[in-house]
Amino acid sequence: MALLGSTALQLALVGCCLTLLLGGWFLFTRDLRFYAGAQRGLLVSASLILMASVVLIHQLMVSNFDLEYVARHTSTATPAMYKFAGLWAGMEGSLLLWLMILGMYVVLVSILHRRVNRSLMPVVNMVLAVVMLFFLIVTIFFENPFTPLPAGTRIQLAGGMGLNPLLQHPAMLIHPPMLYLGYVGFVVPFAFAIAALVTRRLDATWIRTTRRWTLVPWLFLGTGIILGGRWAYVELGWGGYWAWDPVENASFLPWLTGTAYLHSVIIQEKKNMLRLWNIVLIMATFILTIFGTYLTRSGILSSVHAFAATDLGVWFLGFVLFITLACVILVLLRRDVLASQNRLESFTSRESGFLFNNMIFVALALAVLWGTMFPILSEAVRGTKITVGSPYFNRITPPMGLFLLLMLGVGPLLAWRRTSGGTLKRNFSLPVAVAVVTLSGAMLLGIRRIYPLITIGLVAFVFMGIATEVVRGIRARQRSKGESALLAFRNMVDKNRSRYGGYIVHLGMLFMFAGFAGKAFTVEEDLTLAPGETAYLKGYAFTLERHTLEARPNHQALIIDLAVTRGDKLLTVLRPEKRSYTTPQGDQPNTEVALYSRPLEDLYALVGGVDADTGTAVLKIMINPLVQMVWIGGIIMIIGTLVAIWPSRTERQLNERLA
Amino acid sequence: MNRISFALLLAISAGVALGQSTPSEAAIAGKGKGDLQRRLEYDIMAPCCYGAPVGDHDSEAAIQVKAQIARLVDEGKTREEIRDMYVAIYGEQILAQPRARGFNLLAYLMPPAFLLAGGLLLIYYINQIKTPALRTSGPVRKSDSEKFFERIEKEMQDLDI
Repeated sequence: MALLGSTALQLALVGCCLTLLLGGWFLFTRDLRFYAGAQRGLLVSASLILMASVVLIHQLMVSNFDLEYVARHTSTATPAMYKFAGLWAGMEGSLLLWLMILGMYVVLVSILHRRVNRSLMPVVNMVLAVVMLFFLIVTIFFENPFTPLPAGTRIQLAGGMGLNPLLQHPAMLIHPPMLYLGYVGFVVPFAFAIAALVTRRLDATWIRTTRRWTLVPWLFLGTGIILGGRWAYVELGWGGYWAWDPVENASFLPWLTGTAYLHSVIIQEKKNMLRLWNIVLIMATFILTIFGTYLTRSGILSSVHAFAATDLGVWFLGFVLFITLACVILVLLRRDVLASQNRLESFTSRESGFLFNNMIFVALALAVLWGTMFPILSEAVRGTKITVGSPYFNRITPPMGLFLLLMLGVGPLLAWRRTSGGTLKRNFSLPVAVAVVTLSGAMLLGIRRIYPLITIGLVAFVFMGIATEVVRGIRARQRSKGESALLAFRNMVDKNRSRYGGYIVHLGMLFMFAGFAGKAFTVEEDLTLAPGETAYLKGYAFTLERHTLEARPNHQALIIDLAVTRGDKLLTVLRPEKRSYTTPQGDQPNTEVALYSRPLEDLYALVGGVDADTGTAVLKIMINPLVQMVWIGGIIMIIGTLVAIWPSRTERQLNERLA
Repeated sequence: MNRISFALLLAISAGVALGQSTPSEAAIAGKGKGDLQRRLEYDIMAPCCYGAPVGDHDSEAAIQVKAQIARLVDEGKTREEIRDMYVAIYGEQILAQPRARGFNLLAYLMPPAFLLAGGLLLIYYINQIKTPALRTSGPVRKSDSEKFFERIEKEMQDLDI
């Protein structure tokens, strides 16, 4: 079976080379038979990659320890679902996952663009083939997951080394594939951008296609980031969800530039402006995904995500430089078709609002990139290692985040082309009044810290801005079509899914910002409790009831029963665990968080250890306000993106007619 | 510069100034421990992996550092003295964020510079282009490659590829 997987990858490499040869020959000779050959070659390569992936998954599931990868990342004791997760536990499997997802996108693009954008497809296929070829080369020649176990190490690895305990969490079954679906997915809009430039067809069709193809990976990447946050919150035991780790930053960067693109592309759709800017954004987004993979996999920066660091960095860096250079040359060659056809008319226009929002997104991306790379720069210049950790980013990013929040509210209240003084007054008066009242209320409640106060005021402002827009739209339909409010809302959303889907996403962002503000009010205490002893924190009583030891299939767990009461009412019994995973290299300790979520705050408990003589337990208790808002916001954002992606009734009818 | 440009520039500058305020005030306030101790727990990285400040880390090494910090704070040492002690032992890498001096000052100057430069460029761009719309007149000549790809589109439709 392993031979089948290895051979499939090698044949895929051959197919990819043939695709590029035939595709190039087609562009040279303009003979369509070569194009057809190239397209089939790419599809065959994609199918072979999918086959190799299925083979590796099968080998992981049946614990074939003859393969080094299987032996290093799973063991006989690893539960079945985590054996599957072994696919992305190491470098070799991760690269195959990259290829597998790329293969899936290739098949999807071929099917969906069988009848549309056909003039772009030859170049689209070639770009996809170039990216596939790069990943096939590094997988086959440097990090092959089908490498047999070297002789002599068989006994040592006989039972398999097992999966990193930190990865043994349900979120880890979804978080990495989601991130990869996002990362890899950005290759599709990138390929269409290159094709549009090569063919000089930067028209409305290209914009519609890339916008939707950007929304798909943007949705996956966003979902992956949120799931990663959830995993960090419940698994890493520090009570937070975003640590500004280099690898987290690497996933955030393309999300930021992708979000900027999704906004600026609206101006191109409406006003035929910002062609060059949009092309640059979509290119930057893809380049940042490869750069992110480089950061994740090179081990160049210390990271809690260093599950799969190798010395492949130089290859990824080379590929990043190659793509960047190719993009710069192509943009320079096509600068004539990238000139804007229209111009802005006023500062107080929606176009300007979008531009400011874009500026902040890009400045934020640059700031995060700068902070992430600064340790390398500083070491190169001064020869001294330094750290740029979360305190730095928590200092640099909040003002930019609050600017973005402000623009979230300002943008929709501005009119296209120009907003008159009267309209400005009319549109802004209610949201501003509500923001002022909310802010005053927060101050009366005793909130004095500047960032949470600004956030609360802005959240109220943006919420009223969105509500005003939606109500105005419903009323307009009611007047013109005589529909009921509900029907008017439904039809309004269906007629302009991207706009109202966007508003739903903005609503999700408001929840998330409220959650971020809640972080400022976290209460944390280290406790030492003997059995039967009680400690009090923020109105809650925490009583240590007992501690027990439990042997499980691949680990032993020390479990603490911590009863939580408020007044006379027992709320829950928190059961934090200290686990010890048995591996061939020795025991690996791991802590399991106990969490009790209430609507407005989370009770979060960790166990440090238990004194064997006295039975006294060392515990860490945190009360985290509004964390639920972050997850609720994330779900709302996902719903909003799905609304924006889903074709409207008119589009569906058009597609049915085309099919 | 008109009033709106001035207001925007002022807003951006205010944001930049806000960003330069004391770090993590919001993140560290409201917690149970003494302010200085908590602040230091977010100043010093866990020396086991340098992956997170000791305040967010629960490794043996991080727990030891937290205990040392508590003791040093009790002894009346200042924040700067304690930070200097750790730098002397582990090097600058132990600090969760670089000291704003010398070359490392750039770490703090560049992000607000990105924002300011972006804001200024944008204001300049919008002021520049507030002119009547530029439109090309007359029929646009198609390039050879455009004609080529249009022909391909048609041929592909005919062949249903």
